[in-house]
Amino acid sequence: MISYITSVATIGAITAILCLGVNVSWGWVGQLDLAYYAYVAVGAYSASVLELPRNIPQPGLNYSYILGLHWPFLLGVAGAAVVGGIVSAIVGTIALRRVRSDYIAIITAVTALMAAAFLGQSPYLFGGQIGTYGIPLPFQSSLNLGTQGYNFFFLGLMLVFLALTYAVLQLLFKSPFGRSLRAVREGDVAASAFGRNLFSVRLRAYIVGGTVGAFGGALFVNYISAWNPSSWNIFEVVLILSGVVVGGRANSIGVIIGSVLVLSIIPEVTRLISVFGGSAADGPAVAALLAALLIIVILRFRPAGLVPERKLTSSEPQAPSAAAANANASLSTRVGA
Amino acid sequence: MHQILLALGFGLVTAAIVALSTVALSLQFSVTRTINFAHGELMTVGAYAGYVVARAHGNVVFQGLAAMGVGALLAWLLNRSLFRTFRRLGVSVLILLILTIAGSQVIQAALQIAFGATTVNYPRGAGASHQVGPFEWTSTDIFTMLVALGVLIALHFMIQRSKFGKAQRAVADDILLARTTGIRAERIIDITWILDGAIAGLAGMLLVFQVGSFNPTVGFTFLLVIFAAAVVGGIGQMYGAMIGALIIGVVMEVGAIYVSPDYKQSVAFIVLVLVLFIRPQGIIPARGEATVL
Repeated sequence: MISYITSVATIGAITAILCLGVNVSWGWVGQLDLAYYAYVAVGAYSASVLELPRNIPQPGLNYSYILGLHWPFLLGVAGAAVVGGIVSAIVGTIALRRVRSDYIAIITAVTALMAAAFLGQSPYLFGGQIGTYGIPLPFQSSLNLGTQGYNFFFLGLMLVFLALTYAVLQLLFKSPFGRSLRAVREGDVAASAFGRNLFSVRLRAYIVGGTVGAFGGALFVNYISAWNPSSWNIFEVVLILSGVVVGGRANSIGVIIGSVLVLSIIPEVTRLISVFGGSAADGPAVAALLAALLIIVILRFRPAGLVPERKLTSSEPQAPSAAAANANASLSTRVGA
Repeated sequence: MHQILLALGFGLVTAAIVALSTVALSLQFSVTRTINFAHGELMTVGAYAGYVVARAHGNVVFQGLAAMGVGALLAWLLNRSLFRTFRRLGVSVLILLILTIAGSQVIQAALQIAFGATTVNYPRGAGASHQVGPFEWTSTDIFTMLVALGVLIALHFMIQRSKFGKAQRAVADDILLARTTGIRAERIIDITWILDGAIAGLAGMLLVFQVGSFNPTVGFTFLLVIFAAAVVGGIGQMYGAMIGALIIGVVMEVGAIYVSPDYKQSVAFIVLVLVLFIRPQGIIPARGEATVL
């Protein structure tokens, strides 16, 4: 039981990182990035080929992974995050060229579908349909902790990474860069009238999102130790997005709550389906159904999510000094960003 | 040369199916101004409806009618449950997009629970092979193209000549103006959705009639091709959609000769990216959009 809870919590921490990443594009700037899971996959694949040796341990397969550098865990994860940033920069340059928000959604969706099809067919990059496997658990050999002790250690490690991601993103959110992102979300015409380069602002946010996604993917593959095309499809994005929508977009605490609810609690509860006489094979479908219905219900009755973003509104009565401070703040935004 | 002609023949068949579905999407887009990610599922339910009838030994006409009926019903439900409700709440286009994705997932999951996630085989016979001019087509191919052509021509006359078509174009142009002239806009939007669902459902049934085996994700996977055709043609433009479908269908099949058929969809994607760079407004731009963006 305790090992079950530890594993659910570990996956929960990793998916919370994934949700925080997609929140940068969707919550802060308001662009719907359906290629997000491709960056998670890019991170997972990159970490695999950076950390694994070149040769595939299975006899009879006459191909090898690219790179195969046999790097240690931390370097592998960092490298994967960099690769994710580069790939998202390339995709972003294509997808964000047109300002129309629905085009961004189409192009990123198409990119994700293409990437999955292409990587599945190309054994010489990341092992094609078979994918990468046998990624060693980080520090396991040097720690000598026993299975349960190691599981606790890994969970702790993931929680540290989650806290780090949260702190870094929170700093970014409050920085002039974060403010200009929200300005673009609330009114891109006004933001560009104030001298923001819309394309550059959007692209930078997109790269931050892609980097976090790849980082989370790299952590994920180090936990589950294998990755192949069947472990990611476009609906994973929907699940991650629903974590953000349900929790409250642009509110990091809300996003973490939403991700635990949608990506940990719902799937685990639907495992019980066989207890109630359903077929266990339907579990994932029922979980997907519930998550999607939850998005619709939340958007209908509580559109800002369970924990809404705190916004400064001009309708609030303000004392003169506070108003002056605010004016100063907005001035420094203008100068600073 | 022979190989290229053969691929061109395949391309025309693919284009026929893509054209049906893309025209349906464009029709719906013209009145809602929102891309519907659940469009693929209209095709999927059409495919399953045809499959159920075919398993019960219904002939191909009944299979097609069932696909149209179920597709139309689902489209109408989508409009009433999602689009109309949320448009009245005044949500943004992006939220509507997310909702259509959620809707698409609900339908896929429901189909998975009902029919299983595994691939099923559509009971059909490809029929004899015929030499038509330079092309080689099976009876199924010819049937598919004739049906698509028939539907597109009927739709053309419906939109251009009938009173409904006039009202439909008015609503697509300016819904407020249409309302003030006494057009019952909500009814027109309802009918447009029903038309959209019927045509997309039929396209889905024709698609699996061609490829044979399918599963609950068939429509969603095909959506990529539909989007490519819609963007290439100029989204929301019925005739642009037809041209886009023709280009995408032919390029995909002819491209499959030069690269592996596994990368067929990648070819569609490359065309899409090229068009976005060279002519982002599409071949036939939607009115009033080309200059703004």
